[in-house]
Amino acid sequence: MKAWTRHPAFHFLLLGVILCLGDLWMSSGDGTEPVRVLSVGPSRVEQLRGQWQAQAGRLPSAAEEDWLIRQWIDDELLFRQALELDLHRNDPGVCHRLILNMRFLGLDRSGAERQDPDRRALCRRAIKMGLHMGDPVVRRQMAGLMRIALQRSAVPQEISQQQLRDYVESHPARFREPERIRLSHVFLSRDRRAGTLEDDAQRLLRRLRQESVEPRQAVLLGDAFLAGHHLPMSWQRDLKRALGTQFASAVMDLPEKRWSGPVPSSYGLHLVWVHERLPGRLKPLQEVREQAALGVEAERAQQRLATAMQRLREQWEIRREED
Amino acid sequence: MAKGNMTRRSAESPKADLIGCSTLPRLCLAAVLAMALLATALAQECEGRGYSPTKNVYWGDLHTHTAFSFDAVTIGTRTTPRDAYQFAKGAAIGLPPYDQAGQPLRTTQLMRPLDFLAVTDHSEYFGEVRACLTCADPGVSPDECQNFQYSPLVCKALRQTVMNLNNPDGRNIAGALWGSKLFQRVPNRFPFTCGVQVGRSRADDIDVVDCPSLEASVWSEVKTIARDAYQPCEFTSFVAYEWTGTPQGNNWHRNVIFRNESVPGLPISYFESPQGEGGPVKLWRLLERECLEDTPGCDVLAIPHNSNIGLGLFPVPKTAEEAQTQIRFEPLAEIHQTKGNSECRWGVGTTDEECQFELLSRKQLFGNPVEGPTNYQDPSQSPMEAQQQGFELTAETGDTYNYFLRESLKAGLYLGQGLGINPYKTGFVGGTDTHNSTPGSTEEVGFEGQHGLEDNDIPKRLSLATSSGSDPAPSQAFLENNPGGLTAVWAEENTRDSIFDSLTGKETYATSGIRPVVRFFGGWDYPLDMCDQPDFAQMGYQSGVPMGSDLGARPAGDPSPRFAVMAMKDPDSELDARLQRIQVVKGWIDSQGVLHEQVFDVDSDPTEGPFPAHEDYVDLATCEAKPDTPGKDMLCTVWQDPQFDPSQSAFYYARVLQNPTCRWSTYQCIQLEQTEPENNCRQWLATPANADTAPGVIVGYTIQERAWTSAIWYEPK
Repeated sequence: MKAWTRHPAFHFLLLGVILCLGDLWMSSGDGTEPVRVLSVGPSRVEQLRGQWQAQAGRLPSAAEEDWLIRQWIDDELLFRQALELDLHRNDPGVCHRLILNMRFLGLDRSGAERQDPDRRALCRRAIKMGLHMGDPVVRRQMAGLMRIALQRSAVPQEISQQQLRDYVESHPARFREPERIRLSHVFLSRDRRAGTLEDDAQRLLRRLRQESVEPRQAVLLGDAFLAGHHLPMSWQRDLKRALGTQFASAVMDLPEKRWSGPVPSSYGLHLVWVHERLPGRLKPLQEVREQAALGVEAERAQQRLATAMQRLREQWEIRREED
Repeated sequence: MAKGNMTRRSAESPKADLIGCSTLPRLCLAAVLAMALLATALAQECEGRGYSPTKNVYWGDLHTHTAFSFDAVTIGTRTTPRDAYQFAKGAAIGLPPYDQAGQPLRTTQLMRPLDFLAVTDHSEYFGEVRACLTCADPGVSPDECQNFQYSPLVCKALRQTVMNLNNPDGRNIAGALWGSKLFQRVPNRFPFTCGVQVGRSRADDIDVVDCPSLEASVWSEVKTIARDAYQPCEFTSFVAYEWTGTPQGNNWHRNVIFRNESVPGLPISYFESPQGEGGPVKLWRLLERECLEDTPGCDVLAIPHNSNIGLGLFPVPKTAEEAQTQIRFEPLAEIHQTKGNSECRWGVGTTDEECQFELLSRKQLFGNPVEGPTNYQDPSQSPMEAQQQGFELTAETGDTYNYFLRESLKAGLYLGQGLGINPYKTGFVGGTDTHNSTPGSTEEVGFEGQHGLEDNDIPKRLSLATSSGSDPAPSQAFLENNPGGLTAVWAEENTRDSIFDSLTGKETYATSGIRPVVRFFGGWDYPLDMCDQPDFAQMGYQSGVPMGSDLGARPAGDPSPRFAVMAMKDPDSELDARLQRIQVVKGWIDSQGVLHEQVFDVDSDPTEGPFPAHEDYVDLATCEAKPDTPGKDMLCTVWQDPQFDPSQSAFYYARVLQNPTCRWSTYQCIQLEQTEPENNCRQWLATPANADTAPGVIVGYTIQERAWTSAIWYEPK
C-alpha cells in the first residue's frame, strides 16, 4: 500500500468524511421519508439456526435464537447504511479481504498483486463485481465501521467542568474517599494477661482518664504492640489490615482527644486516643479529571449509538414472516 | 516461520539509543539525578494517605487468570481482568456454570479485599483466542469463521468447547489440543489461525488472521483495564502476563510483571522464546531489549513458579554475566500456590519434618504420581557433591535443587562461589494461580476451587462419586490442590513504584493464604530486648537490614549475626487460630563445598517441643478448635546464630507456623456427609497414602498454615 494511505492524516481525513456523511444522514432523518422493509423469513431463521448448530454442535435455545435474529437485523441495517455511505470503498480491512477472495477465485492474474497500485485496482475490480455484497466478513467489518461512526460525535463536544463534576457526583462509589483517622492505642495483651485482662484494662482506663495521661506516656503503661502504638492517618481498611475487622469497626466513631475503650481485637484489649479525624469526601475534580472525562465520553458514545440505532430501526419496518 | 514473528520484529522501536548513556554521559547523569529527585517526590505521594517511613504490609496476588487465558476460557470462565480487579477490591464475582440466560450459578466474594493485584493471563494465544472466540459470539456468522481462510479444526474445537461447556455432555476438547504446543521444544503457532497458510507457490500463500494486531489489541486492553483499576495510595494494579513454557511437561512458567504502563507493544510468549532457543534465558534477553532498552520508562521482573513440577525451571549460568542477568530479572520465586508448595519436600535433601505441607504427588505439570521422595534424585548424592566428582550440574541433571526452593537457595551458595555472583538469590512470593478470576481467594472454609468447571463442586474437588457404593478414586490433581497463597509486601505506600521497588528489593514474604504480620531483620548488634521496645520496626531498619537483603559488613569484635523476628497472628483468622512457632531456616556451604541446612525453633508456645499432635488442636468431627490449646497471638525474639562461621556463605529465612486447623478437604467432606451420610470421603481422606488408586497422595485432615519470609544472606568478604 502507498505510504500516504498509512499516514494518520489520511485516516483522519477519511474519518472526517465518514462522520460528515453520518451527520448528514442523521440530520436528514426527519421521519418523513418512506419506511423501508426488511423481511426476516423462515429461511433466514433456518439459516441462522443452522449456522449456530454448525458452530455449537446443537440447536440454539429459544432465547439464543431470538438474540441471533435481533443481532442479524441490527447488523443488516448497519451494513446497508454503511453501503449507502460507501464505507466499503476506502477501508483497508475490506480491501484486504476482497483481494483474498479475488485470489482465491483465481481472478488476480496480474501476477504483481503485492504492489500497491495493483492491489487497489484489484480491490476496485472486486467491488465492481459486487464481491463485497456477499462476503460475511466484509458485511461484518462494514457494520462495525458503521457502529464506530455512530458512536463518534460529528463535532467534538467539549466536556464542561460542570459535566465532569456531575459525573463524579453520580458515581460516588468510584470517586468517594472514605473517612480517615489518626490514633494511638495502649495495648493489653491477651497472651500476657489471660485471667486479668478485662480488669487490667478497666483499671488502666480509669487512671488514664483521671490523670489525663498523654498518649506518648500512656502506651508505656501497657504491653508492647509489635505493629506500633501510634498509627499514621489511616483509612478503615488500613486498620483492618493491622488490627482486624473487630477493632477497625469499633474505632471509626470514637470521640476525639479523650481515652476510649476498652476496644477488643483478636490480640487483646486496646485503650484508644483519636488524635484527629478527616471526614470522607468526594475526591476533588483535579485528582480524577482524566478518569471522569473518559467516563463521560464512554457514556456519551453509548448514548449516541443507542439513539442512532433507535432511529435506524424506526426507518425500517421489520417483517417477521411465519411459514 | 509464522508471519506474526516477522511483524513483531519490524514493530520494534528504533529509538534504542535515544537516551543511551554511552553517547551522552552528562545528559544521562542529569537525567538520572532528575529521576532520583522525582522518585523521592513520588515516594511520598501518599503522605497522610497511608505513607509510612517504616513501611506497611500490603497484601496481594501476583498470579491470576481470567477468560483472556486459553486454559481458563475453555473450562467455563467468562470473567475478564476487569472483573478480577473488581473482585480484588471486594466485589462479588460469578463462577461457572452459567444458566441459559447467562447468569452464573455460583458467586463468591473476598472477606477481605486485596491491596494489589497483577492479572497474569497466558500470553500464548492472546491473538488466537480472540480470533477464534469472536466467532463464538452469538450473532457472528459462522460462515466467516468456517470460511476457507480459517482453520475449521483448531478454532472450531475452541469455539465448540466454549459454547458447550455448560451442557451436561459438553467436553473440553480444546484445552489439551492448544496446551500441547507449549510442551514442544520449538513450537510453532497454529499455522492456519495466525500467520500464513502455505499455498502451492509463494504467490498463493494466504494471509490468514492478523494475529499480531489482534494480540496487540488484547494486550492494549490488558493495559487499559490495569490503568482503570489503579488507585494510587489505595489499590495497585500491575500490567502483567504469564510466559508459559512447558517443555516435555516441565513447568517453566514465569509471571512477567511490569513496573508501570510503559511496556513493549507485544507480550513475549513461549513461541518467541522456546526451550530450543534458551527458554527463560531468551525471555530475559527479549525483555532486556524490548523493555529496558527500547521502551523508555519500562521496568520488569519475571517470577518463576511451581518448581515442584518444573525440572529445569532454573537455568544454570556459566558466567558471572549470565548469573547477573538471571538475578536481575528473577529476584523472586513463587513458593506456594493452588498446585502445591515448593519450599521443600521431606526426604529430598532435607529431613525437616515440616516439609510435608501441601505437596503434589507428581513431578510434572501433568504427570504420574512419583510414590514418595525416592523417585527424586538420591539426596545423599546431591548434585553439589557429585559435581566435585566430575558431574556437570545442569538444569536437567540437577534434580533436587530444581524442584524445591530451599534446595535452589543452597545451590545458589555453591554456584555463587564459582561465579562470584549467586544466581539463585531469590525472595519468596505466593499466589493463587486461580483460573476463575478470583485473586486472593485463599480461605480454606468455603473453597470453591480454582479451575472453572473442572472443580466446581465438592465431589469433583474431592473427586468422589456422589452416591454409589463403588470405590471412588481421589484424583491426584484436585484433592491435592489447595486454595493457594498470598504475597505480602513491605512498602512505604500503596503505589506501583513503591510496591515494585519492594518486589525488586525482595522485601516480601509469602503465606499459604493467611494474613499474619511478619517482620524479619538481620544485623550485628540488635539489643536482645528489642521485642519489648515500642519501636521494633524502626530499630530493625536503623541497625540492620530487612528480609530480602544482604547482611552488612561484619564489624570488629567477631560477632555472630542477630535476627530480630516477630509475627502477629492473622487478625481476622478463621477460627481465631493462634501461632505455634517461629523458625529460622539456615543454609550454608562449608569449606569442602558441601551444603548444609538446619532449622531452629526460635520462639514458640509451648516454648519447647515436642508439640502436641494436630488432633489435640482440632476436633476432627466438626473442625472446631479444641479449648485451651497452646499458641500465642504474637511471637517475637532476637535470635543469634550459635554456630556462625564467618568464612562460610549462608542464608537465613523465617518460617512462621500457625496452630493446626482443618484442611479445606476435611470441611467439605463434613459438608458432604451431612447431605449424603453414606458416602465414604472420610475413609479416603484418612488413608490416601495407601490407596492403590492414588499412590503418593499425602493430604491429611489438618494443615498448619504458614508464612515464609524472603531470606537474608551473608557472604564472607
